[in-house]
Amino acid sequence: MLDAQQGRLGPATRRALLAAGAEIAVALAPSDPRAFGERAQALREARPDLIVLALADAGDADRIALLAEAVRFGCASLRPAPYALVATSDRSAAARARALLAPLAVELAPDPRSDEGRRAVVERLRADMDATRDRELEALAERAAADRGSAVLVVAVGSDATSLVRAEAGVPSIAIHSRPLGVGSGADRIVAGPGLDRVRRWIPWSVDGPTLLERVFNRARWPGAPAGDRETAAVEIALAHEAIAHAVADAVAGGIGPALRTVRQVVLAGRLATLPAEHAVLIAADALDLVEPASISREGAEAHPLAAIVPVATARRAVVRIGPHEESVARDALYVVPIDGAVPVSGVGVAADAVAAGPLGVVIDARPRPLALPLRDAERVPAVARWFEALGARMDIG
Amino acid sequence: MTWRYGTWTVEHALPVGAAGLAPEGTSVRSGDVIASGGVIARVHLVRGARHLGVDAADLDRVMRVRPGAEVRKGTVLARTGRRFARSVTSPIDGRLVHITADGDMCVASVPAEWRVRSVVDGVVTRSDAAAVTVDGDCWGLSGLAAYGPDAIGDLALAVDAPDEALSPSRIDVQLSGRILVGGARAAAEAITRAHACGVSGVVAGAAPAGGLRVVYGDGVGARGAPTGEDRPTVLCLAGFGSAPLPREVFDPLVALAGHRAAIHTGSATLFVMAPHAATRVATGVPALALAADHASVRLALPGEAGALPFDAER
Repeated sequence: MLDAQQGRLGPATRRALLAAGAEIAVALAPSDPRAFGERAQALREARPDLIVLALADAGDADRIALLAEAVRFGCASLRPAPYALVATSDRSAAARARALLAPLAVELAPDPRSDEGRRAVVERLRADMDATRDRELEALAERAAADRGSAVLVVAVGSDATSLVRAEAGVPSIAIHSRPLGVGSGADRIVAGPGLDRVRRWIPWSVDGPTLLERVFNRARWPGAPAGDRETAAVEIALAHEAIAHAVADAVAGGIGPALRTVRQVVLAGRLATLPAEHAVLIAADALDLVEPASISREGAEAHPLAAIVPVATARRAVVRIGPHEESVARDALYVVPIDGAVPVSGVGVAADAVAAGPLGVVIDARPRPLALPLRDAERVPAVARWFEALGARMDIG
Repeated sequence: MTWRYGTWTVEHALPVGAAGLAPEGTSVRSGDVIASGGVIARVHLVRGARHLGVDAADLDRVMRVRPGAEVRKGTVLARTGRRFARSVTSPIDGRLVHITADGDMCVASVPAEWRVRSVVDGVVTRSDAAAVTVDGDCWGLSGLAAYGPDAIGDLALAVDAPDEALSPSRIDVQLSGRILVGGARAAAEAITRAHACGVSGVVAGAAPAGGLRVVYGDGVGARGAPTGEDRPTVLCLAGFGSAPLPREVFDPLVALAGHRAAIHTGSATLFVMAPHAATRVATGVPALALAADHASVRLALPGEAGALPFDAER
């Protein structure tokens, strides 16, 4: 991805790429500190299928001239050579980009800042890939939103993709399909760099980094292997936490973070739908940072919620009314009120609404956001274990 | 088949900045240099076509130096006219590396050179700035993931049994230039000692993922990390952690010891330049399974659920 305007057009382009489920192998801007040869080498090693650049005008095309040269130097001799998708509504910018990127084949697409433009870019990108599952998830979100009459977020964690799809009647859907991030073949990407410690922190007992890494690497090359014991089940749950966190971070980078999480219903799909209900709900509560009370259900049983999550923002203590119950909720609390069915929710620090709970009840979540887990195992393990216990998420599974 | 004797097509990916390439049709031996070039960092942009008053498409006609050529400061890169000549010259000692779409010239100093060697005996079938491909007949064993640069050397056994870990104490400078066959595990201590002793590469059932991070950095993943730097070379055949090699895989390694061999990290394959008759391979494909805690790979029990053939696409 080439970003001509150093962040102004970039989010729109990134959002289109994420909506298409494309993996962004290299992102370059004119301010990139790497030297010409290093940029070209990064592109050569990435072996891109496609170079995407959004241009507002011919000035943008001139700004990416040196980046385009790095593309030509690094990629023109690759077989197959990548093609370039130039997203612009300006004819002179398109002509200039075509000249700069020769001999690479250049295709044109509309400016991705508009909804139609983004849709056109997404459709063009999807023409070269298998987007069946992505389309299914988007259809699921739209169907659930139409049935429910309110905003729905579908959260799917797969082997090598993590998707967040928000749909609401009368509003364009928002989709993020982060690749290759998942709990199977994409697991090793999650633990790259500092990611290992971020995954490790969700495991409710002490585990050393090298052992965890071994499990994740083997899992990445053996994605179909079942979680055979509590250790592997815990790794899968921890990876799911971080896969969603990565996807949410991708959404924020695409400028759509808060909108995604303002929903009344969350539908869990993919591997999340196969986990025990308590674990699936805990992952949703931990990783999604919901801002409104929401029902949590599974793909295939959208009309039968597992539970409702009520986020409570409070500095010390707040009174929350859930149907006939009145709860005094302390900051940092996480517990379940055993209520089934639709109940009105209100209170200080709570978005007033009616939510549909399920057999797991209503989860009151007053933990400060973003969740800050202690670094030391002696403090972290009891905290995480308490959260598992609060939702009845037993770890003797597998 | 896990082991296969036949014609292998090996693509040697090149870094940017190639200056010398083996022509297509050239016969090469494993270890021969098939491409060379310079490490390119910053470039000096020299005004070309516009300064000379020619169209960028016509620049080639007036060039005096070809991309990839060495230049000295003041070397005439391109020139037009006779009595009222216009020319562009190199501002530095270095190499003309690239000509832009606008007809300008990129000249770079070259702080280091790189060379790429063929990993198999064969014939060059493709040769351009991005890759040199060699087709050759040899024994090959595809592994799971490889790390480091390509490695070339004689195959040498460093374990007595397929379930034995490669011990650092068995590695010394007498093994310099060899490709060592470890058994179930090559830990970071063995890998770094082997590198320090001049060993070309290590082949083992598995390497600990944490050890690979110690050697290759935190960004390393489960799909290997080919590099062009002075790093150790490791080929993991079956997984991470520990993975005893099946007899069907280990016995040919024993039989082929002493022959010229190479690890191609781009495809995670071990090639052995030995005649077809040098060994016999079993017809069945051994099956492997992940241990219950996913921390190692083991031989699968007959009919075990979740087991995969050794050479399964994973």
